[in-house]
Amino acid sequence: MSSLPRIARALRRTVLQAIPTVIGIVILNFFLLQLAPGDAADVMAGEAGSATEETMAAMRSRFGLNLPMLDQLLAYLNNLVHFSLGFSPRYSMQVSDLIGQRLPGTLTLMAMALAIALLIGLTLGSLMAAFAGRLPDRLISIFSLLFYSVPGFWIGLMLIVLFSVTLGWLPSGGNGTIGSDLSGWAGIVDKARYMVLPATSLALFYVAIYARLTRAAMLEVRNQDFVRTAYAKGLSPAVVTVKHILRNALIPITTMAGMHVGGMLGGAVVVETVYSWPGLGRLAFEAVMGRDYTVLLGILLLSSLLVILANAVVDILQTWLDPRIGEL
Amino acid sequence: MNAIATPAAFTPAPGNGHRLLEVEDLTIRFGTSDPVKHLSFSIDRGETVAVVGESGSGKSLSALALMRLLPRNARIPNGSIRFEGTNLLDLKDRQMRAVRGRDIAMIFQEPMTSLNPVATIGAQIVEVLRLHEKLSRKAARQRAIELLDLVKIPDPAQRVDDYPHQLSGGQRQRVMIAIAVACKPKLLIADEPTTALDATIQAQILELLDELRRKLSMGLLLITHDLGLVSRWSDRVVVMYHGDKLEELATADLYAPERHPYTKGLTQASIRLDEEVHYTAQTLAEVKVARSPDGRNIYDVRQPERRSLPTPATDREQLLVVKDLSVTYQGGSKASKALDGASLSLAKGETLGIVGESGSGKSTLSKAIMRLVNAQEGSIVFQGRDISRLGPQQLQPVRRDLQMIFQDPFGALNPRKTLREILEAPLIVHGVSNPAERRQRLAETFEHVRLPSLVADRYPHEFSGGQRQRIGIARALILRPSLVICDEPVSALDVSIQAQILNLLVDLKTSLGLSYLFISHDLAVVQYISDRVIVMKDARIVEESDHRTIWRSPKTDYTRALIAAANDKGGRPLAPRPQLHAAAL
Repeated sequence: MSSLPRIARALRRTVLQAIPTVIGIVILNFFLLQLAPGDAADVMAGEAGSATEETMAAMRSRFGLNLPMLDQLLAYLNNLVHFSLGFSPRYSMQVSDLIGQRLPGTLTLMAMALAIALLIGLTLGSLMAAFAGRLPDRLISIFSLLFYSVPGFWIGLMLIVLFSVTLGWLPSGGNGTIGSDLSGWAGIVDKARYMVLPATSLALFYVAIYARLTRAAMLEVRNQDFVRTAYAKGLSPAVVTVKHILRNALIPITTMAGMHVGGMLGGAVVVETVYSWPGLGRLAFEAVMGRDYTVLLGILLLSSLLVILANAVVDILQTWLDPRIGEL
Repeated sequence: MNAIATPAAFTPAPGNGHRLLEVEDLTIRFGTSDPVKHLSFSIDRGETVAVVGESGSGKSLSALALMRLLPRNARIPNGSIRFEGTNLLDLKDRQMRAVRGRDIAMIFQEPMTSLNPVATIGAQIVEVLRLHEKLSRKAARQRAIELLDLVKIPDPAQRVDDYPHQLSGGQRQRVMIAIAVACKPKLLIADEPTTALDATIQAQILELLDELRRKLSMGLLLITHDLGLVSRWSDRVVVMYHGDKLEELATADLYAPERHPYTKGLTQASIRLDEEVHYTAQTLAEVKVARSPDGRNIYDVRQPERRSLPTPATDREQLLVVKDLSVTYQGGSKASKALDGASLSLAKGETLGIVGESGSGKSTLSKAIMRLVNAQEGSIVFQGRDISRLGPQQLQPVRRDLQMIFQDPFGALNPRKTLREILEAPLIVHGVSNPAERRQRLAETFEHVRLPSLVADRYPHEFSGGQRQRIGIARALILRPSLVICDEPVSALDVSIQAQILNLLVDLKTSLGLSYLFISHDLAVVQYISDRVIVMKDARIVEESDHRTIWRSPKTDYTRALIAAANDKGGRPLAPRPQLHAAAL
């Protein structure tokens, strides 16, 4: 049986489950944010420093903040149905445009970080499993414990101190050389140089997780009967490790990686602040400080969509990796 | 008592040109213990040699040593393994890899887990062909299909892209054989190749192995604990116990009188369907091995005294009456019927045997009676009361009278609890709050299952498989139940232990007045212990009869097929056993 129909089934199931999930998330988020004290008018008035009762009332009625809560929710849902995320009072922009500017930066950062985490994590984990109980295993496990326990912002700052300040190899912040008009290969290299440090500091925590997970999964798979069969065929240890052990160990790791997409989005707020990376995380942070709930709701909706999408991708990946899934 | 310490010598005759494998003085060492000591044997081209032994005899380790696949912490301090004149122990890793899979191939016991679950069976055959024969992808795939045809997988061109989970256990073992014979090896090692399979499939797999051995003129090393299998399929037998080779003999001599006492014990302790042994007529011989002061093993075969059985009353009170019981499992979109309208009855003091192949619904039936799964239809009248619709609260007192003994003596006991905790837990649940009384019940139960009561504060891992099964029996008996459901209680045990446990179960039944529902796929065991027998197939009860009629004049074809498979494992005709028990009944 080919894997395509199985994958199609997995996809259909995911989409059907996603619809009620998204609606639930929107409504829940809306009420949660209403619990927070203050609104955009308070903050803007406070920043202007000379607002009267009347101007504040005018602002509230202009942004629809004076309506009853349920009406506000219905208005927001009505916007959503018309594929609009609403209007930001603070930035005087469509929220979708605002997010559209920031989204690519965060997505590339996350994709890079995930790629780094998986690549290094799988390599270290395989090494640890290969040398289980011996010196390399102990050393790597100490390092992974270190990465796991040290907070991301501190690692970010230390990386800046080492690679930007002391060694001067890499830029310390931003997402590209200001005023440069590099294009093609040179442009990509320039962008990549700016991305190395933020992506690495975001990734290190997950490197630790994946390394430990890979180690455990590989040790478990290594003792299974089919690995002995593979050796009995006369395959070399390297081929057995990659084709038989790692291939099976990947199944639990993909599940975890999918669950981490949401966590990475959270970690991005800190890393983007440290490296002044213009991304969604910082936008979310600013939106909270400015009580700009429309923007925040938009970001939260988008994040939940992203997590659902990531899970769908993991589901498909799982179906492809493990032929036992999706039959029935 | 007939004790012996020196193995009988046996020198094989054939000339050296035929010699394929010569193992000499092989010792395998883990730390300070030697699970295999000074083992020597040889295999000629085209010959089948069986290594027989119980668990812990070192037979599987010896097989792995031939492939140099021993666990990392094992060492070989002395000995040689000569394959066509070359000592395999001297080869470099790279050279040894060229031998594995090409000259010497191996199949394993567990067909369910021996194939990589995420690769197609075709890919797993192609892998070995591409490695050793350097075939192109296309040619290798073509060969893989031919090989699947050779091992008699139907529709090989279609099945080649199947994943292992889409195949049955027997088919998976065929795929394993296809992988093993792909490069036409000169020696095939089969480590318990049929132990995990149903009787009807066992015969087919062994027939296939034997046919391939002749076609490809391979040497075959058969590692097994099953003497019935050995006597039909091998030319010579090596008997091992605890790392020692006790004797080597021609298969025809296996049942001859002047054998090593341990071999004799094994042949007597293993029961055969065609001998019609029944518990009312005789006890089973038990093999006892003791260590003499000078460190040698003393082997002893003993047949416990015949027990006096109460004469069965003609019309006894019914303990359990099951009517039209059906269980349907909901799995995703489709429902599968695991039990379909099963009806049975069991009188007090009676043993009802249930036989059937895997998937026939015997375990579901027992779980439904225990109310561990819910039956959608039907009634279970136990001690005059319908328990099929009782809630958990009402079931609690019923469970005291309804206990179960499980198959796996290793998995059924919580490893983090001492025997005392394991055994007292059910007493506490059922309201025996007085510690003195609990201690007394514990001592009494230990006595029943013949364990010394000073072991009560030890943990399960400190016991052997047979002892653990005694603990499992003790756990079931401590509540003084009236009905005990035994789900394959001796299937995971060695032949000699199996005889001890069966003797124990019969003794307990008589002394405590128990009734058993005895489930097993092993017909000979069911024949021995049952008063009546039920045969199950595809979730239904297909036949029911008393213990004599069912074996002598079975009514259905299915029962006939089961008996044929158990009686005749194929191969050569079985040598009759001389001087053994007078025919039962």
